[in-house]
Amino acid sequence: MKGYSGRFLKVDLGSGSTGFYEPPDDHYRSFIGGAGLAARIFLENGDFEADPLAPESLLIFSLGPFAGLRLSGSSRFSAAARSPLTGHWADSSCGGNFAPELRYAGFDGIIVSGAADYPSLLVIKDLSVKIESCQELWGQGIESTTSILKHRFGQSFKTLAIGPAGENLVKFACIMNDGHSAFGRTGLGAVMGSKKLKAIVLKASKKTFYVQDPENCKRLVSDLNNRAKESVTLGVMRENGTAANLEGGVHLGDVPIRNFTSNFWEEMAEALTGSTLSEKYLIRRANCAFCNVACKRVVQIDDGPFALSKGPGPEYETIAAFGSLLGSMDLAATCKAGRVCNDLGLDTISCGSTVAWAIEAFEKGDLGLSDTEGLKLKWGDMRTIIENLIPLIAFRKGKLGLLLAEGSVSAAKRTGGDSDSYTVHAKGLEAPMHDPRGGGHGLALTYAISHRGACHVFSPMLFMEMGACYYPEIGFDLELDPLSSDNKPEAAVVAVTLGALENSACMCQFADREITIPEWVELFNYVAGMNWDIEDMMKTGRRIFYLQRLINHRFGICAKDDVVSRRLLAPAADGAPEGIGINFEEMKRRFYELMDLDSISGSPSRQVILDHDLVIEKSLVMEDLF
Amino acid sequence: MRVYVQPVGLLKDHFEATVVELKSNSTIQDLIHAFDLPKELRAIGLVDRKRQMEDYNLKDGDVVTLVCLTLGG
Repeated sequence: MKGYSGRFLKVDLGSGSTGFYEPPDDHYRSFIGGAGLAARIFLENGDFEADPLAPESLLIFSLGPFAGLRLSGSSRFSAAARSPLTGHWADSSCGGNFAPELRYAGFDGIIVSGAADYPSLLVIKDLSVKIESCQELWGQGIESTTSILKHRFGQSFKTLAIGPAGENLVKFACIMNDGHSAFGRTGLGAVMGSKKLKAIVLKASKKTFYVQDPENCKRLVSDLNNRAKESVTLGVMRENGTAANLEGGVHLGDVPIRNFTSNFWEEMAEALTGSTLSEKYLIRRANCAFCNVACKRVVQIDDGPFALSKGPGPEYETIAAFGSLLGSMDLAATCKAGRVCNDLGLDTISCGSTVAWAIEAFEKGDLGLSDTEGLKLKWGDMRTIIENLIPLIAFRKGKLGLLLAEGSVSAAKRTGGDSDSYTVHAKGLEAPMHDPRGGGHGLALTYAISHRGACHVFSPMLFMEMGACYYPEIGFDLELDPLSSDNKPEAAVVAVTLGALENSACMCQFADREITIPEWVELFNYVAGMNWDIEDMMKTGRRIFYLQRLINHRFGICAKDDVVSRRLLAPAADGAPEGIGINFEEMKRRFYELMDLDSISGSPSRQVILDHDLVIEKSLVMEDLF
Repeated sequence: MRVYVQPVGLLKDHFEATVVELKSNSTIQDLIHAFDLPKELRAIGLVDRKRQMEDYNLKDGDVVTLVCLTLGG
């Protein structure tokens, strides 16, 4: 099929062998790529009994069909595995420059299995692949690892690497591309670490990419790139980054404060917002490959306790996770914390959330000085957090490091008392920095029903509730009120379908806000020759959503697991949403009804499985459903 | 009637805090329309920091915060 290379690189680190896996065309057509195709590959090749960190587990990197196209927002890709943090099926999305290079090299992805006996480096030059020992890199931070690899192989080589957190199997370790873009969520860096795979370096000698209909594709890509350049909302992202409207978010009650205990803090709003970052520390803007938006920041802090050399700066999630969530309005500290997490290889969302839980546990007496080995945990004490706590976690040092390296939910279980009541998550994945009580009630629903847990990019629900997108072509033209549960189940049906498409096509959720539904169809048809109409495309999105649920069902996930922490549903104590509760159970009931999901198992009905062509030969997920 | 209007976040680039003269029985929607914002920037109103719907009838002396709904991820 055009738009694809037609092959995945297979690497067995246990035996040291490499080879190719060629998915049948109908897998590409039915599951697209990215998160969808990774799920399909796992279904066929994965071991459902294997521990996420066992050699038998698979780590799958998977491109969408648009990687390699010179289109804003198209340079993302997925990594997928059973998450060591949640125990469930998980995928994570990363921007940067690796995805197009991997397509140009001749691959649609990489399937890693087994575990090496020694720290290993995977070197890919076009279709030539080598596994090398890299003992000298083990223990190095990501900045140093990336720098050494670029010096050794050349600046044009693209890198994926883990830091000490991944090596030490911290459950929320991330994987970084060239030190600035992350597979942040669900702990896939620990899966890579369990395989002793320190890094992947990649270079393609040609930049060739074949599409089905070059002429129409070129015209459409040009139109979409021009629209991305001219868009008012994307212009805002370019100017002041993804935190451009953090101040507005605080007034809406969207930005979490002190572990989601407050929804308003006026002084913090201006101190942490994107324009303040631009004024104080921005050196230049940066972008993923071929992107006209350039929402990434490069910052430098010349003096003070959090002085920082020129390098990657924080995006919205990191600013909130190491700012308001921890009771801090010190913007320099958020820059420093983000840089330290990147270097050690930690997901900033789960790390900030786990630290927030620990501070509340210490405040409430569930953790004492004997648990923290003398460390006093306080809101806003960023020096202690950055200099002591984050390294303890990454290196699993001491009682506290060992406890927190497992994530907040596991830490609460081990701590006991009432400490579970102030974990903030869905399915064990710490919530991102959007509080559904202010950011939109529908978010609570999509956090809960997401296969990977509380994730704001599982679907575009956040943008739909904010009025950033309407889809009249598929009957969705409702103006949603973020602070109401009305119409949210209906919106969630559209959101999960589009989310599955976005995460399988591996498109950026910022850039693709400018793409209409008919243009999505055209993109698939012009690039990959899908020959779809709108309903074909939407059915494919639903199929992927259902497949991900079926895999999770096999991991033991049921309807009772489609929940979010009570703290996210209780009426807010202050701010714009003060006193307004979320009608979660009714939203969930209605969503289940609309998607024909069983109220006990949470799985799609037999008819849905048949209608979506999900009766798959040798399927491991079907046998207990029929 | 007169209402005091404060922009926050992105809307600060479009107008400054000001006092607006409106007809009696005007709503938040009427107030938002008075600022002729780009259509991509969907704004909502808070009265005394509490969220109110677009059809909320403003009163003389109300303090209204206008917030753009665009959020990053």
